[in-house]
Order: sequence, then structure tokens, then C-alpha cells
Amino acid sequence: MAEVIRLQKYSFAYPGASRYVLRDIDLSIRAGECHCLGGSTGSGKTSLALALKGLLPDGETNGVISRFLPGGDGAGGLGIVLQNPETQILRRSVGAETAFGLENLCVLPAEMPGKVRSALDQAGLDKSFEGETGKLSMGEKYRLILAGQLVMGPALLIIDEPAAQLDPAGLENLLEIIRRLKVAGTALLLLENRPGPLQAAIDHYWHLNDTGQLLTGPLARPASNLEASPPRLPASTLPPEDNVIDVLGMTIGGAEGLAVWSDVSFAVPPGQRVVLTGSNGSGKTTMLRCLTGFLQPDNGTLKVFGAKPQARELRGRVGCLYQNPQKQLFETTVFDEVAFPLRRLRENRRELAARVTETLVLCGIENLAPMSPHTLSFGQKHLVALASVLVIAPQLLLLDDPFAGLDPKTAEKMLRLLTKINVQQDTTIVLATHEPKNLSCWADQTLTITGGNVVSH
Amino acid sequence: MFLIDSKNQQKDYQIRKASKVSLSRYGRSTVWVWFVVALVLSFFAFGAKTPVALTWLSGGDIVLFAVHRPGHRFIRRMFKVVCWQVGLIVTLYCLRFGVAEGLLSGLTTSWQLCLAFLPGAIFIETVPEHLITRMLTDVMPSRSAFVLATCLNFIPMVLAEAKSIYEGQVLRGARILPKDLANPGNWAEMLNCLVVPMMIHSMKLAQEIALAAKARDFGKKRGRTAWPGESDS
Amino acid sequence: MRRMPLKESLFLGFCAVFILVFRAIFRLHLHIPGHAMFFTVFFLFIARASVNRLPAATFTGMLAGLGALVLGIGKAGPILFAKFMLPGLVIDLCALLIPGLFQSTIFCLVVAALAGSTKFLDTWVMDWLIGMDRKVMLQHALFESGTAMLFGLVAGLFVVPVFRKLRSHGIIPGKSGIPDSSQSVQPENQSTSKEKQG
Repeated sequence: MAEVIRLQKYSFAYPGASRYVLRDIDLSIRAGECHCLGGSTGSGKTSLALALKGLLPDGETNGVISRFLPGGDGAGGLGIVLQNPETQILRRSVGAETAFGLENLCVLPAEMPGKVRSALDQAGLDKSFEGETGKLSMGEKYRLILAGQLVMGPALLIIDEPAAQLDPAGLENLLEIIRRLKVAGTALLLLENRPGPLQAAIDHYWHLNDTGQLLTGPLARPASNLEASPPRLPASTLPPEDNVIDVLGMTIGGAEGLAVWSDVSFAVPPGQRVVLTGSNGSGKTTMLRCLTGFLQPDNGTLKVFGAKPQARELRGRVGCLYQNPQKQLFETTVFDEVAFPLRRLRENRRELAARVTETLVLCGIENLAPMSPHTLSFGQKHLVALASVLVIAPQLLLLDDPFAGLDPKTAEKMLRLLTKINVQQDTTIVLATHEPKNLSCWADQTLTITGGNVVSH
Repeated sequence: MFLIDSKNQQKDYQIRKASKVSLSRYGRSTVWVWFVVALVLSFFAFGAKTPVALTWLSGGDIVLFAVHRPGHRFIRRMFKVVCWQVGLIVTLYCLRFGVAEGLLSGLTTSWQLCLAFLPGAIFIETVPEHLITRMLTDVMPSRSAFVLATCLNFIPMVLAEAKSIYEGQVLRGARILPKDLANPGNWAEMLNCLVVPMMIHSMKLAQEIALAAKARDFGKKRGRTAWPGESDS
Repeated sequence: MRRMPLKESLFLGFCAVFILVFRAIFRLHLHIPGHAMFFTVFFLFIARASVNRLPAATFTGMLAGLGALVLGIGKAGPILFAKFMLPGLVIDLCALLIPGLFQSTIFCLVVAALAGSTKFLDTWVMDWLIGMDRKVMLQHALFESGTAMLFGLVAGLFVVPVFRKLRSHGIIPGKSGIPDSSQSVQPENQSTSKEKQG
């Protein structure tokens, strides 16, 4: 099969960076082949994909990339499906979204509908052109993004971390698409550490090590302690008291009049560790917003600390960490960020400094105190955001998918931290997640949401 | 070969429909016609000094109103605006020229002013958003049109993110609840806790969107063609 | 002049969106005439500070005007664009003439007041086209723009502290005009683990 792309001793360093992110890469991809590239977080997988497409900024480059694509010597004929589906859908209708690439290539409008329909069929998305992109499920959005690439007829298609976006059924779907593309002569490069069912289509494995070099074979993954059952720590020794959370017959309506939660009842005593689990869209975030008083249920009663929850009253007693908590960071140093809630509670300076330092030590980030949050890694920003919530020693801690996007080491660190504060400070914890299997031994109570109802076990 | 299943027929219909430019009530050409009508009516309002001319223009506005039928919300909003403008201008004229002369001059001038902005207000209230965007992208440079359309499309995501940041900051103790913001001393808090994180988020979003667009060869060629479908820009 | 990168254009677009969104939200809650100028001036300042190019604020104003047209925000008419573009033009010109504008509170206040005062010009021109009496024209323009100028001035007060925070987060370029950290152009160092669905 003909070669599609070749890298020879290719190296790249970002402008201003002190080290090469890609070093002496030798890689050849042929038509009809499917390659899988793994590597730990920050190893340069996405950078390599951008290099192949010619989208890297002007940095220091060595070596050669030779493209044998229909678009000539340019980067045409190469498609990339990036990590975040939400920021890749740029138009409101299915037809316009799929045709976006054709518009950029100045394809005649009369030719577009036929190509778009063909691409949608290839991606297995049976929607009308006028269908609204905002109303698609995550799996459908992913197929739409694929169609948006396939419509341009790429000779090489790069897919960045598909397993992070798709469930097993979605991956099976993707496997079928990949098989068809291979038969049609399209080359594929998957950037993925856990290909799952896609393994059946992969011809070659590679991985990038921490120095940016490309090695053959998949990345050897260290056993994640998060996947094994964490040691069961002593349960809370508090005598029974009034519940922290009391929910009785609660119903919350969602879009188009459908109930998100229907006649739900449960209670959370003080010091308990609760895991709230359910699929995407089942209402986990909605429940957390009700507990903080930002959303009112349509029916039933909801009490937090014995009263109807009101955000103003819960300040200082409830800590909440929403998804991607680092987006809340705004101060110029980590110390100021963690000190922010204490300043609002009018703590005196000496005590404030002591409590902030204590919290930073608890989270294992005391060395980051003078640094700007902007300069930190994703995992470090996560811990800073958590520290800024823990510093007030909340009685109730609500966490929405706190491990999303974290590497196993940081996720384990976070879980141990949560366990510690639960035991030492009797903090009640409600943790919402869509991956409960790692936490079944950790939780005192698991609330599973299915079809608007809750099952407690 | 002679049996074409209904799904294929549906797909063919969609392809044919998207290839045509439908001249419905709010088709692309119609939107331009209504835009020009609104512009002409506004333009003539500046020159209309006599009650006869103003009456004719008012008739034109009434026709525009009857055809487009903006809702109650628009009527309420315009009523407030008109009352405010009329009240202010008439008061200023009366103070300047006395009640007898000032009242008539003030009312005539207010009438003129209202006729100048009403046609435009009716137009943007009643024409669907995606068609106005389409209209703008017909005349704007393709890059600016893309930027405008994309940023407007991402408003729901930006707002959802803002809500999430806002709620998290409130629970951290930020004084940015509506009652807190009645005190201007807390406006700095809002800017620091809400606006700064949102600016950081929007820079990241801009980076990701730009990458996604370039991944599909946006900017590779000078100019772009346009999807012929009715909806969306 | 080098073409503005797409990322910067999109960021300016989001600044324009913030102008419109905050105007709409706070109109519902505050009901104070002229308060919209606070957000207009503030975000135009931030746009110009973040994207250090001559027409950044004017471009943002243009997008805000067009966005207002699309979304049906505010009174419509020929002056809709001027409402947003004129303050942007003032800020762009002052940023060109005053190096270090965004690090000086005094200069920011002066420029913000000037930008806020463009509302006077909008109203005055509109009234002049109508043929209003001169004295009434002046009084009307002053009345309409009085609170707007004040709110514009208040916005100027907040520019410098916010500018410092955005700079420490790498949003605003360093002294050399290049972003403070190359991290701002690197893919985020994380694996994305989002909710999954078929």
C-alpha cells in the first residue's frame, strides 16, 4: 500500500519552551493501515497530531514531514477529530456543520448536499440536514464530527482519545467505521491509551515516552490504585443525629416537561460518604444544584442542615466543587486563591495564614503557594481548587465528577485526601460520578439514578 | 433496481431541497427586501418635518407592524421607550419655548425620532436570528462572518459555564448574589470572581475553536462558499 | 500589518458577546439607565489589552453592534453600530497614543470617560439629523449621556486590577507582546475523560 505520510527524525519544541516535546520521531503510515499511539499525559500525542496536520505554532523544528496526500505538499487530505466534541461543532444544523469543511475548500454549493449525505451515511448518523446539533446526544455529536471530517475525503484520519468520549456501544460503532475506512484505503491514527474494542482494527502500536521519543508497542500502564479497592477506613463514630440531607418525595422537571427526578427520597446522616451515580443526563449535577439552593424542586421537600437550602445561608458550611473546578481560579497566587474564602469570612491575618498553610500541607501543595495558578499543571490546578474549598472546613462537601481528566496518581491522591477529611473532620461527602466501580468500597451509601428514580445501596 | 425504498427517497428529497433557495416568507431574498424597506422608512423619518409626511411614514410603519406581527413583549418594550423619549423631549421643548409652542414642537420631534428607530426595531425583533446572521455573512468578509456566527452560537455554552462558575464562587463566599450587587462596593468582586475566570475560559475556548476550524482547513483558501441549506449560517 | 490570528479574533468575538450578555442580564436586575456603558467600556478595554492590535476594540465594538442586531438587543436604528464602535475607536486611538495605558489607573479613567462620552455624540448626531432645536439637542444629549459617562468612568476604575490578574494568568501578553507562557499555545496537559454515551 502507498505511503501516506512519513516523519524522519522529526523534532519540535514550542516557542519559549526549554525542551523538545517531540524528539527524533521516525514514523511511516501507509494507506489502509490503522496505527495506535499511546503515551502518558503531556507526552506529546496531540502535538504530534497537530504536527502532521501542520497546525503547530512557529517553534523550533528539526527533521522532515513528507506528506503524500491528494492535497499536494500542503496539509490537505488529513483530518483530525480532536478531544473535546463540544468545541468542534461550530454550526447549528447538521447539514451546515457537516458542510463546514467543504465551504472552506470552496466546493460549489450545488455539490455539497450529495457529499454531506454520503458523509453522514459513512458516519452512521441518520439525521436530516435541518436537525439541530444542540439536541444530539454525545455519541451522535461524535459521529457528526466524524462526518465533518469524512466529507473532505481525508487520506489520513487522526482521532484523538475516542475512548474518553464514547461508551462501549459507541466504540463498537466507531470500530465498524474504522474497518470500512481501512477497506476504502483511508489510513488512521488513533491517539489512545485504552483502545478497548478498537484493538480489533489496529495494525501497529506506538507510544511516546516522557522525553518525546517514539517507541514501538503500547504504553505499559502502571496498576492504578484507584482501580483496586481502597482500604476501608474506620467509619464515622458520630452518634446518630439529625440528618445533614433529607429528601422526601422530590420531583424536578427538566427540558420539554420531562421529570429529571421523580418522587425521590433519601437521607444522608452526618459524616457519611455518599456516591451519587448515573449516566450522562440522569440528573446528578441537578441534584447538587438543588442541595446548594440554586435550583428549586417542583415538588417534595429538601432540607440541608434541617432547613430549606439557600446559598446565602450555606456559605461557610457547604463546599462545592463543580466539574472542571480549575475554571474558578482567578487570583494571582495559589496562596491568595486558597485564602479567598477565609477573607470573606473575615478571619484575622495570622489565623488566616495559618489555616491556608495547613490546608496547602494537607493537599500536598504547600510548595506551590507563591506560584500563579496559570503556571500549574491540570492536576495541580485541581488540587488548588479543592484546597480553596476545604480551607473553610465545610461540614458538607459536594463534588461533581472530581476525578474527570485526572491522571491515576492525582486521582488517588485526591481520594485519600477526601477520606482523610471525612475521618478527621467528620465532613459529610456527596460525590457525583459516572464511574462508580472504583468507589463502591469507599462509599457508605451509593445512590444510583435510573430513569428519574433513585436506588440506594 | 426498480424498488427505491422510502429512506432513499427521503434522502434524495433532502438533497434537492437543500440545493434550492426557498423563497418562503422569510427566505434570504425576502429578508433583504424587508431590510431595505426598514432602512428607507428610517431614512425618510429624518427628513419628514410636516405632519402629512409623518402620517405617511406612520402608515408605512403600521403596515410593517401588521405584516411582521411582533409580539406583546416587543410592544411593551417599545411603549416604555417611546414614553420615555416623548416625555423627555416634550419637557425640554416646553422649558425652552413655553408650554404652548413647546408642546407641539416637542411632540412632532418625538414622533419623528420614534419613526426613525421603529422600523429597525421591528425588523430585528421579527426576522429569525439565523436569517439575520445569514444576511450579514452575505456582506461581511468571511472571517468576520465566521467569528460573529460562531461566537453567537456558543452563547449557550458560555452562559452555562458562567452559571457554573458563579454558583461555585458564591459558595466560596464571593459577595455576588443579586442583593450583594446592589452595593457598588461588590462590583469589583463580581469582576474578579466571575469576569476574570470567564475571560480565561473564553480564551481557552477561542483557542480550541480556532484549532477545530483550522483542522477543517478554515483559512486555507481565500474566500469560502456557503452551504445552500435554508437554516444556519 | 500581519493578519489577526483566528484565536484572537474569536476572543474579541467573545468579548463582544460578554458586552451584550452582561448588558441584558443586569438590565433586568438593576434598571438603572446608562449602566450598560459600564460593560461596554470595560470589555472594550479588556479586548484591547488582551489583543494588542490597533483595531481590536473597534472590531469588538463592530461585532457587538452586529450581535445586538442579530439578537435584537437595544433600540435599533442607524446609530446601533456607533453605540459600540465609537467607544472602541476612542480606546484604540488612546491605546496607540498612550503606551502603558492599561497599567495606569488615571489614564484608564480619562480614556474610559472619553469612551463613555461617545453616547453624547450618538444622541447629538441623531437629534441633529432630526432637526431638533440646538439648545434642546444639547440638553437632550447631556441628559441621555450623563449616567453613561459616569458608568464608563467607573468601568475605567476596574481595568487595571483586572488587567493584572489576566496578565498573571497568561491571557494578556507580556511586555514583548508574546504570551507570558508558551503553555497558552500547547494542548492542555490532560487526558479528557468526559461523560460517555453511545
